[in-house]
Amino acid sequence: MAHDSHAAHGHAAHDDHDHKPHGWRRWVFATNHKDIGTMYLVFAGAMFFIGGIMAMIIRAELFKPGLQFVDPMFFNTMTTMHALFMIFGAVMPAWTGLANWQIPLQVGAPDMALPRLNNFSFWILPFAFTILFCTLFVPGGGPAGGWTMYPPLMLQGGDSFPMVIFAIHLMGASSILGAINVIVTIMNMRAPGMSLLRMPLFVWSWLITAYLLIAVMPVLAGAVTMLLTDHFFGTTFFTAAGGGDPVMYQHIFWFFGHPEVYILILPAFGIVSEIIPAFARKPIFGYEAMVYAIASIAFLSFIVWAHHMFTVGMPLAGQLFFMLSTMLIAIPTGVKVFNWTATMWKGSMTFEPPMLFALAFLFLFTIGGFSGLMLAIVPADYQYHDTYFVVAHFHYVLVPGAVFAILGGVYYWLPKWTSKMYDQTLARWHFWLSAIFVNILFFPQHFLGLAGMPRRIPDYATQFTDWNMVSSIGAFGFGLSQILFPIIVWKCIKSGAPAPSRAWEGAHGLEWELPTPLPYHTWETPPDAAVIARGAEH
Amino acid sequence: MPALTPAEQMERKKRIRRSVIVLALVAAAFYIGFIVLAVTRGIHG
Repeated sequence: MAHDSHAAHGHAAHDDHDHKPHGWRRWVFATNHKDIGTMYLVFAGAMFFIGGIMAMIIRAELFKPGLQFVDPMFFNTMTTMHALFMIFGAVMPAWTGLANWQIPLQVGAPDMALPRLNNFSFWILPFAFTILFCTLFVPGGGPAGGWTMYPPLMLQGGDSFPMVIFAIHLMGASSILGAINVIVTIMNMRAPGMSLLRMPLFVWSWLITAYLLIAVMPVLAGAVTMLLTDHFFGTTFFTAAGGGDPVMYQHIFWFFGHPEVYILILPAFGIVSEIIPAFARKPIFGYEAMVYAIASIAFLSFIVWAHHMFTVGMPLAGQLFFMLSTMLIAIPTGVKVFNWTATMWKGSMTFEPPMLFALAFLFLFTIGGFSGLMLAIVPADYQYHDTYFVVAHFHYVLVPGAVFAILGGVYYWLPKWTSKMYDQTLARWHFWLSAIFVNILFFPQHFLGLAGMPRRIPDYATQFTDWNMVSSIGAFGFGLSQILFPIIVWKCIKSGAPAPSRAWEGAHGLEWELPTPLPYHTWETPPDAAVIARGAEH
Repeated sequence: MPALTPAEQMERKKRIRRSVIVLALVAAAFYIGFIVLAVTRGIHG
């Protein structure tokens, strides 16, 4: 295989030292997709741990009733900042990092279409999150109105208000520029012969995600711009006293917010669709159905936003429409879950760390999906709304869903990126501790929500004590077990055993046709038809 | 598979530029469109 790879790759294997900048310039002025991908992933990891510390503060406070460690205002700041750091700082940049690393390798392109824009997209983020983090130290404290930033509460913020709005604008600009880069790369830089329906599902999932980003990030920017003008320039978009409508903000926010949920999860579908066939040693079942299912989910995400607002009040016809459109999403999602299961059917399965994370994703994301279906039912939602049931639902989607898929993706491609194999025993420990503690952390929150415990409160009635203690113990265990991840990656880079060019026996795709160590510049000569056909065996 | 000829590279650059302009305009339309929507539908004078 190695000699095929070198032949397919032409001269690139021996020019890996060419044009490679050194020192700080390599990172500050980076235009190489691999370097920028690495920076995104490191940044996402840092934000994950900062957001995680905020989560630990929240769970420590909720360990038992009464106020223990923080005052209620700071607690609210922590819930708001935890969400903003995890969504915009950890999960989204992690996906962009994976996209930067993998899309050019998987479509046979030498780099992203717009390398300098790529550099700019990344370097916006550290500034945005520095501004956001600094809000903790300004008079009035950080934002405390929740990540949804609903007026009129948000408009009553202290000095942090304009800083948060500016930071959100920067994050949005970074995401839009990144999404434009992904679309133009996929549409214009594919190797000859790499037709759309030959692309790996991770590339497909990112193409659809990028279109979602371009459609909805500007909507969030519009919403927060209007908040800014309401606060500083005398407009009354969302101020009832001036003829405005605070509920309009909620409609606009959730027109962004629901597709945003799919922005966070669609690339996970792509990753799992790469990992399961590799470790089941079978092609993905129903490749085209998977593509159409992702596209259907993306389309439906635009017409379900008001299911977040059933209790705000809306006509019966509106409730019925948003309930039924939300339930429709279960159909393409079911197609995906059954196709993953069918891929494994009679496969020669092995359970290396990426597969363990993908399997956990399959089971636990489905739990999050089912609780979402429960929340879509209008009369039931009246009971569940703003309770811990909602917190359990979206954390099942985002932690054993999105985060496990990111970890699975990193464990899948890390040997290709570093040319070294990580300590699989330690990675298995990381998986099992994460999988056990994530359920101890979030499953009891279903019970708390069904029993009526409201979300976003620092104190609670004593009948909720037991499950809160269990949940907090799960949180501390989950948080501590994540420390294994940087240790595993560091150990791999420093002292990992050499990995073959095709690290996993069942892995298919153009990236595995490249030699290891991966040259600094890849696919400068596009892969030929035979290599593409071999890579696209799905 | 040989690398792209200069003419093909030029054509690809043009296509990339066109795509970027279209996508940026779509993003700007969503930004302005939703603000206009809020002005016309959200404010009950």
